[in-house]
Amino acid sequence: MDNKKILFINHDCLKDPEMFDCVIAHSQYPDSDWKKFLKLQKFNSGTPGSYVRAGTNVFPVKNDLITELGWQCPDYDPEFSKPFADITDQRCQDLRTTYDQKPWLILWSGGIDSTVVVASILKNFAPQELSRIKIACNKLSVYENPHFFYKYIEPNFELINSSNLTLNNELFKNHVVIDGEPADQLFASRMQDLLFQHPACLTKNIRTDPDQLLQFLSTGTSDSIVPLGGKWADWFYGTMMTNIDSQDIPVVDYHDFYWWYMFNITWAGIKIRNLHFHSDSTAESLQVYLNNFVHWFDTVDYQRWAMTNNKIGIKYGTNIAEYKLVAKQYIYDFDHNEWYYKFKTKKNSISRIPDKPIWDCILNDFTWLNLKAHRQEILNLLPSHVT
Amino acid sequence: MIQNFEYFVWGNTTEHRSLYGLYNAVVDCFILVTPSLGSANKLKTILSSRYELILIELSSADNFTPNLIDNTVCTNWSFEGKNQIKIGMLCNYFDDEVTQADILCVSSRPLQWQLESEQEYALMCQHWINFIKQQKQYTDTEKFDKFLSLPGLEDDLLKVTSEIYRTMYLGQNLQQVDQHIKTLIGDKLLNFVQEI
Repeated sequence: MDNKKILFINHDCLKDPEMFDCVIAHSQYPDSDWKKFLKLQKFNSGTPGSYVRAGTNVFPVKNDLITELGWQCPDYDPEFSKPFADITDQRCQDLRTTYDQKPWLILWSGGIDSTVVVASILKNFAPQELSRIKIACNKLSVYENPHFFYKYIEPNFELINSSNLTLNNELFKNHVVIDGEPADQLFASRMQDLLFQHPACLTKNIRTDPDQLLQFLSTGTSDSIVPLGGKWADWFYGTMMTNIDSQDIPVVDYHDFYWWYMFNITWAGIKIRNLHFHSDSTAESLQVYLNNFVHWFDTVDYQRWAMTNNKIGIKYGTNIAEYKLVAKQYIYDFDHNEWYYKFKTKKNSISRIPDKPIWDCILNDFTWLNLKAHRQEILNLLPSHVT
Repeated sequence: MIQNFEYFVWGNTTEHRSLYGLYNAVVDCFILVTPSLGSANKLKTILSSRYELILIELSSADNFTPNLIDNTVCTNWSFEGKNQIKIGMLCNYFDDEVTQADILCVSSRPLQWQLESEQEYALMCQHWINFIKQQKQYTDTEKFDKFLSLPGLEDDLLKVTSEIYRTMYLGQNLQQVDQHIKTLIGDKLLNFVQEI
């Protein structure tokens, strides 16, 4: 392929001095803003890269990943009114029809998102159909949700220890793998600390009353690794506002601001994050992954629901356990576990830290490149990936 | 009134200089207080099937006095210094991390949250944790277990202890859990201890 180009590069690689010099030499973006852009990796360390799905591309990397894989935001429909529960039941029925040829492997962490997935399967599948579904989990999953495990998972499914699970072409040949992503992007997971420490501020207006938001962005929420500073906060707020004002989806208050960042900026990174656990790196591997790794919450309906339901009492409530309230309600309607419903809070579910991934960069022919092995090739292609 | 509960203890004593609280961040208050760090840690783990609890050292607070907080009033209390709590992190249910309270203050718990049944469950668990601890004082074979293997000689205490913890961890109904533990002990543990 002559017209090779980078679709995705892990932004941590851009901190490499040679890579950084390369982007500075070829980008129109100011040097100081490049440093601030790369600090986004500290703001949300769980995402390998920031790519804009809707509105003006305010970042210095091209969005070919979004356009070529069709990961743009769907059109905003203010009249969209399907409830979360109906969308979830429909999702289960649709997947049953689409993926009826191979066994399913569900990645269950015990957290809210993947428990919605399993609850939906148990609700919508006949008992005899469950034999073709396996659950990958580990001890930490059980500790997260022991009652659900012993009452619903252990008696109904074949179990696989997720601690030893490796994603590879062989696994995808024999299974459809399903996880609970990208639910955090439908909700607004970055604002959970605010819900704990300053719940009243979530409904403050980002345009007329941004001071406290800037303070939070500056000092970092409690699970940020380091405070990012006032200058970074000003840059991030200004950059996001430019993006927000360039599109027509309502983003009004502090909650919405965090949600929009997750929904618009981190979506694509989350879609490919599980490639960290992939042990094959042939060009075929990415296509196999995309065809056989299903992110449960990645549908047009879920996204339209997310755009029209940024409301207290649906996505969040008045305490930290009411974050993802409607998802917890779905689980509660199935298992009637009052403790999980009233008290479960969102936890970071990636309990297994991946080894250094075998890829750092994905090209448009789905070749995977590694910084160590393909440094020069990446350096050659990088200038055309930056703006 | 929680004082009328079978396993009620006040929690604070003048004999101990330290006092620990099991803090529930969702309701912003302490479910239980105890001077025993070991007991608090075990309770935190057992009750994790219901909710995450964060171990707070109450006696580190500037305004702490020994008679300030006990198990009759702990659900009305919270603390300042919550920015130390990493609410979104994966909970390690078995860590022994203790967060120090800066200042003790009034809880923001909405009044509709009734926590007496949760306190009763925690007090019952604490009772049986202490009971097991007392039994182990007579039967602690840990030092020998490190280098002695005694095939065929099953450790009844270990088995019963494990079953009690599991019952409390997975139990939902206090009366059923309490009765099941009493049955377990009546069947095995007391006889075993009496033999010694």
